Amino acid sequence: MSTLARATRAQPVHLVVLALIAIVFVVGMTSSDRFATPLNLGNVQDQMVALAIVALAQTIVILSGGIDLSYAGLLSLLAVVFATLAGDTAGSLFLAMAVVFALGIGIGAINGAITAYVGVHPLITTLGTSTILAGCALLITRQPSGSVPLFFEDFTYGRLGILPYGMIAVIALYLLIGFVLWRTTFGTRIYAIGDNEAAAAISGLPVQRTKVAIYALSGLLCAVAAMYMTGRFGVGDPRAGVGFDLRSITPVIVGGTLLAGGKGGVLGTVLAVVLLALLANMLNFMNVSSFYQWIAEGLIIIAAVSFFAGRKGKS
Amino acid sequence: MTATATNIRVKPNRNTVRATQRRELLMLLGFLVVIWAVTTALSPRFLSPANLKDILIQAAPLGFVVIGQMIVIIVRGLDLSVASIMATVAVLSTSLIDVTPLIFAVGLLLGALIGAVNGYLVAYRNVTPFLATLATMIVLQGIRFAYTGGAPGGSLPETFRFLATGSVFGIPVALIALAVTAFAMHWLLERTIFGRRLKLFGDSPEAAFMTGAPTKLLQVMAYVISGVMAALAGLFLVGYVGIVDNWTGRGYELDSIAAAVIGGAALSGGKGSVPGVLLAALILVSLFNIVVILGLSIELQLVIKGTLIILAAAVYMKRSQS
Amino acid sequence: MAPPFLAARGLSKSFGPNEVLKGIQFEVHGGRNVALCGENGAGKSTLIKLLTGLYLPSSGHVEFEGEKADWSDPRQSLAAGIAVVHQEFSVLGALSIAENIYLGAEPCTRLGLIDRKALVRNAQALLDDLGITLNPNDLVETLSVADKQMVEIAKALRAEAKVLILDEPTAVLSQNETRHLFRIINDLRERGMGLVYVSHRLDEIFEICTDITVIKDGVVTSKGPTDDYTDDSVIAAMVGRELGDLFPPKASDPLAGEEVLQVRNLVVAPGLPPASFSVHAGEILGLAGLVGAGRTELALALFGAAPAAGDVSLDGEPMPFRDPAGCIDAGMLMLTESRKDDGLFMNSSVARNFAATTPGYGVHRAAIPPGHEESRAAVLKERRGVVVDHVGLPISALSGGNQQKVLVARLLENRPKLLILDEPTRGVDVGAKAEIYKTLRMLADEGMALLVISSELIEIVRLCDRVFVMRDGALAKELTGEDITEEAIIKVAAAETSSHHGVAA
Repeated sequence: MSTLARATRAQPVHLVVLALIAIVFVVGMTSSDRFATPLNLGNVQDQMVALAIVALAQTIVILSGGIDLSYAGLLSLLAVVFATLAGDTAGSLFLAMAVVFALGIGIGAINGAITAYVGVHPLITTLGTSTILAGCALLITRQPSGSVPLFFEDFTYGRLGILPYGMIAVIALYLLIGFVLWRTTFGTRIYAIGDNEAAAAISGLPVQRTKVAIYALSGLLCAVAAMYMTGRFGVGDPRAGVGFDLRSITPVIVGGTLLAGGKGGVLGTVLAVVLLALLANMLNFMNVSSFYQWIAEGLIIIAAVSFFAGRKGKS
Repeated sequence: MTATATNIRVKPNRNTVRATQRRELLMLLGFLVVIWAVTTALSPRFLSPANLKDILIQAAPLGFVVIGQMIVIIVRGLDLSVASIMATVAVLSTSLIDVTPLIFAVGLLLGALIGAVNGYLVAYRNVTPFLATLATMIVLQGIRFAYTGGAPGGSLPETFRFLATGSVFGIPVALIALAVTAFAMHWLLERTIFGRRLKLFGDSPEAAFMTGAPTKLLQVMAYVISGVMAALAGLFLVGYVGIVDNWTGRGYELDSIAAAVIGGAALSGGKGSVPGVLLAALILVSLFNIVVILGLSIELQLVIKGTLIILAAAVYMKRSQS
Repeated sequence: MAPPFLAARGLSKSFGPNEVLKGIQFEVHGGRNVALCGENGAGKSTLIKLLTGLYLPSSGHVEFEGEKADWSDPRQSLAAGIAVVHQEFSVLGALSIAENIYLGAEPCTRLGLIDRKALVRNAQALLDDLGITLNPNDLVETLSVADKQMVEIAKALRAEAKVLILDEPTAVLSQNETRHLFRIINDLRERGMGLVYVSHRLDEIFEICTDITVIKDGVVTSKGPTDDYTDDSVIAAMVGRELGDLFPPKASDPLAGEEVLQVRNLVVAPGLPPASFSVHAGEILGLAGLVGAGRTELALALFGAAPAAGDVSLDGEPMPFRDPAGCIDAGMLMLTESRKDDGLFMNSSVARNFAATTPGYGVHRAAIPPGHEESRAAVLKERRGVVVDHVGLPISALSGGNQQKVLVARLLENRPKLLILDEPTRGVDVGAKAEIYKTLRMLADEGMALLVISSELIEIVRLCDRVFVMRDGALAKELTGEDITEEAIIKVAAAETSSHHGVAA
């Protein structure tokens, strides 16, 4: 196996996803002249930035054998806090950024600590924190409120050629996390813990500390997504995160990462995010209502998972 | 009296599996009594019969769902599709027919069918319960919206409304239905071979298989029960609200998991009781009522609920470790 | 004399009411290879966990190079220089060989990043040094069991270890691979390392160990240089009494009974030769062979727990479609190898465990009366001599021997015609063993057919009336009567296999 394939965790299924992307693209082009225009493709990219970042966070957690359902509450709270503090100057913006980063990391670390040290199932832990955070966000404000400096709002809408700044950030984050997974001991530990936690512990890895770090990183990435979303909206929406908990899981699974942990990587996730965004866009051009897009998404999950279920063998 | 007979007499022991479960149940009951007492002390209005009746009626749909959710959790599963089943069943069956018994018949059948699909994916296709039911949830959502074009209409028959809001001898019909269902499910779980096998399967799927349990069938049946329970809950909920909505039951998937966990079901399987999860459902619904009665910010109940989920799970975890 | 590299000073360990180890004294010096002998369940694994800081002792302490060591975490003992090759593998399938070997100690660049080139280079050098021909870039999940074992050893030796503990390292190895491992072990000892070698294969111990320490029921019963011991004296120290007393006399004419089980051309897995044999009423048929020879797989195929092709009939009734439920109904029952994994329901009560197999609830198919389970369990508990305060307690509170009694009772309640027992005395103390042997012989005398799988040769030799030795999934040889000896079994079982591994011959 070549080093590149190992480093990117490329799998045969990624070719399937790539082929599907190509098919969707061709179908999109034939169905409308406006599909392959820079304007539309820019829109597609804008639409996938937030999900791409959150799915990246979820990928890391799932690789370690966990799951993070706290995004719904966490994104909402961070968005509200950010918009409340960001004001309209660079100074207040940086203060808000610092606070949001600290909150994201801190809340993630709490998720990790409850999971690792108390032993509560991550699904329950993060479901609990998500509920609490959603409540906190609504306690701060029931209606979208606050603001961000205009230059920050402009920045989130900015483009470099056909690449939105948000997309550049996504690419940078994926490269960075991919690099972390391949070249740092932290990355190796994520895979080791996800593959077999008991064996990782016997091997002398600090399993509990690593888990705290994993969820903290997940919270950190959420902070980035929350700031981007708030910048796009221009206000802090106390329901900004609704749905992101479950939506973040689909691309991870479709990208070939096993829910059981230990296998997969960020390459699959980013390909799946692109596929899902293009598919939604294409269906819009074909005047297929979003209702059928839901059906498609559910069937894609089942197809993807059935594809991988064979690898696990019999129960 | 022979020596053998004396030995066979079972002496009480506080560490038995049953004694442990009984203590957990008492713990829940104690907690419910405490929050009710504190609320009553702050606002006597809370303990009025009308308010209590309100709480109970509101708790009924969650009660149905959580029983099904618990049974799925007992077989090491999870059902994220319950809320979607509630809405889909309510939308489809009320729009197809307007005769109350038939609405129920079609609805329960539909719930069973969807549950069977979940069970098939989990038991026969080796799909993780989380993903199987997540996919079902999304697909059902699409089907329901596509069918209604986004805006469900249709009126509910009078008898249907009565079932959900009416009373017989002062007892709400919904509660009678829940009580009957709860007794039936409790009996099924504790007193039949099927129920014991569900729990044994959750304790150790491998050992259950080797002792001759029909493991795949057990899993499918668990999801079917959950589907039927969700269908019942959906019908009673629209009957109570009076409007059929595409988002009927929204949030019940997470609330039912929360109530199941607080009520003593463990995601690792094999553990859970009908009285336990019903008490937990009552606690969750009471919280909502308490926040309103005390004039607190309504969002506070989310914060309390989340804290409760984590605390309960942590307490059960610590107890099982010691 | 220099202080020992590693020593136990009066180590004791209790789990709840069970005292597993009592005042253990144990030393390993540099350049010595100490055999740690004892029956299954004697406390060897617990001692290793105490020595490496995975468990904390109830009293006593561990000494490292003459100093008291307060390890509360295996990482600390690892850092000090104690390397362990565990019985259960600690290698990870999702990582490459090199990543596994250096897991937690990756060579890093000055920026703190993993130096991938150095990682592969160091792993390659280590593998070369040990004479293991594997590609460090390969994923571990693609390796054979023997090669995983080699990676495990390389991983233990990645750092400068002073003491290497090997827990049953040859259990999964072929003879050739074992020879290779012995060369590595002797080489390490000559380099001055101290070794602890856990095994119950006496021939291996006498071949490579310089000292012997015997543990029985949590107490050191004997220790000294290997030269002072003979096979018999080690066994006597391990077992504590004459082995002959453990086993009841064999059947006078084992083949006199009717054929209960007939197996014709059973193919367990594609590519394996078909197996044909029968088991008679009143006989105990043994299946011997090394771990991985296919004994458990054959038993699971008979019981319908794994797919297989071929004809199986019980009492003349063909069983074309078998699953565990059908086999139990037909009268074929199986005691599985791993009690905790697929035998017991660990969180359920003793009473429920008694009743778990199908007809256990008797006539109460629809509704089980309250208290039925417990009163029935109380009777069974008396009859089978299970020691427990209350049948409502979770079965995890029982000792291994008592858990096994519950399992046997559960099987016998179904009055089987054929009983398959996979490692029936694993993790059971000697007293309980004798009782199990007595029960099995009694059942055979009453006309039951028994098929026993065991890795303990003495058990096969002294208990079974007839023996099939398995190798590479095939019934390699049948032994009867006086021909059943340890030597005869080993000669067949351990003959070199054709399978190719990364180990150089």
